[in-house]
Amino acid sequence: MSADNINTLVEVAIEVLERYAFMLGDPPGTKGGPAVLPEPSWIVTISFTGARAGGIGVVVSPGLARQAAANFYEDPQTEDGDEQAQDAVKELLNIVCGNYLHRVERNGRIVNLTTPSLQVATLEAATRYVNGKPQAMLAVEGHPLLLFVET
Amino acid sequence: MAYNILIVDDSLTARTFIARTLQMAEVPLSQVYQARNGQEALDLLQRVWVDLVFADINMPTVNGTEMVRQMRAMDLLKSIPVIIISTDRSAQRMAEMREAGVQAYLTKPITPEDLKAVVERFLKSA
Amino acid sequence: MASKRRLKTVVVGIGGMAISDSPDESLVAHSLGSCLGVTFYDPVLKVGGMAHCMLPLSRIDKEKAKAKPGLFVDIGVPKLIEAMLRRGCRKKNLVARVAGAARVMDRANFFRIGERNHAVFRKIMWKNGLFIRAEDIGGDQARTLRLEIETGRVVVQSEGREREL
Repeated sequence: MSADNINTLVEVAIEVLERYAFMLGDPPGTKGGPAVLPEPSWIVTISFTGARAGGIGVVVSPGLARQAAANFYEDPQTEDGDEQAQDAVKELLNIVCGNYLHRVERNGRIVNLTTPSLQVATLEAATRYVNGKPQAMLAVEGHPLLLFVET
Repeated sequence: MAYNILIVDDSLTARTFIARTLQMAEVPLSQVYQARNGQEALDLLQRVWVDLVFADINMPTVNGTEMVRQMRAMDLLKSIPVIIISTDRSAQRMAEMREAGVQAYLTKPITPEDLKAVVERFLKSA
Repeated sequence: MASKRRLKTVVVGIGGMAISDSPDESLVAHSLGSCLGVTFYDPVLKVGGMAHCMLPLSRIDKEKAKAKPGLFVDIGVPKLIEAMLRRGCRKKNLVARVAGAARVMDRANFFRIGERNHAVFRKIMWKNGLFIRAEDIGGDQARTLRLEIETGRVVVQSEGREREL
C-alpha cells in the first residue's frame, strides 16, 4: 500500500466523519492536535477479499466513540456499557471502508467486507499493533484518531 | 393506514438511524421490527406481515443478498419491497442486487432526507 | 405567482439573525461564500427567520460567541430555532432551507469551512428532529439568499441566475 492510499483514506475518513457522525476532523499536521494514541485505545479493524484484498483500521479513544454516539443517538447511553459507542465506531469504519474501496477500486468489481471487529487495548499494545503499518493521525474535535492500512 | 416496517442490519447505529428517520418523517407506523441479520429477518417474516424491508448486505449468518433471494422464492414474501442500504458502492454488486429483486439501492452514508424521499416513494405506491 | 409589489428588504449581515412576520418584508443574506445562510419558515403563522453564519464552532472564540452568536453555526442556528419557537412557531412546522458553504477563496479547500458549516448545521437539524427541505450548497460561487415572509418563497441568486429553493 502506498502513501497515496493513506492520503485517500484520510480524505474519505474526514468526509465520512462529517457526513455520518457530524464530527470535524483535521488532517495530519494541521492543527497541532493530539499526536499520541489514547489510553485505553479501541482498535477497530475491517478486512476485505475479492477484487481487492487487504484491510484497514482505526485506533480511537473511547471519548471519541462516545462523542460520535452522543451526536447520533436521541437518547445516548450514560452508564450501562459502551454498546452504542462501540457500535457507532464500528459502523463508522464500515462506511469509511466502503467509500475508500470505491475510490481505490475504480472498475466497480465486487469486494467482500468482513464485519468490523473491536478490541480494547492498552496504549502500549495499540502502539505495537500499528507499528510499521502505513498510518496517519487525525485530530477529531480534540480526540486522536489513527487511521492505518493492514499490510 | 399504518405500515409495518422491518429493518435488517447488524449495526445498532444503522438500525437506529433508519427508525428515527421514519419517526421524524411522520410516516404512519404500526410496527417497526428490527433484525440483526438475514436469518433473524426470515424467521420474523414467517410470523409477521411487513409492508417494506430495509436491509444491509454485509451481515453475519445470512447476508442481504441471500435474504432477498430467499424472500423472492417464497410466495408470501416475494412481493414485499426491499430497499438496500449498504456501504458497498460497486457497480457489480448493485447489478447483482437488482437481479436478486431489490426495489432500490442506497449507499451509506445516507442522509435523513434521502431516506425520507425513498420511503415516501414506496409507501405511497404500496 | 409572486407578488409584484416591492418588498421591504431586511439585510441579514454576517453573524446576523432576523425574524419577521411582516408580509411586506423579505430577509436577505448577500454574498454567501463559505458562510451558511439558513432560513426557517412557519407556513401556519407566516413567520420567517434567517441566520448568516460564518464558522462552524463557537469554541474557537468565546468572546465573539457571546457578543455575536450568529457568527457560529453551532450556537447561532439553535438560537434562531429557539427564537422562532418563542414567537409561537411549532417545531414540526418549521421548513428549513439552506444555501452557501462554497469553497470561495479556498480553492484547494484546505480548511473545508463550507463543508464544516454544513456538517454542523446537519447535526443541529438531526438533534432537533428536523429535515432540510431544500439546499443549494458547495461549488465555488457566491450566493444571495432571500426569504419572502408573506409566501415563504426562498430564492437563491448566483452568477446572474435566480432559482427558487
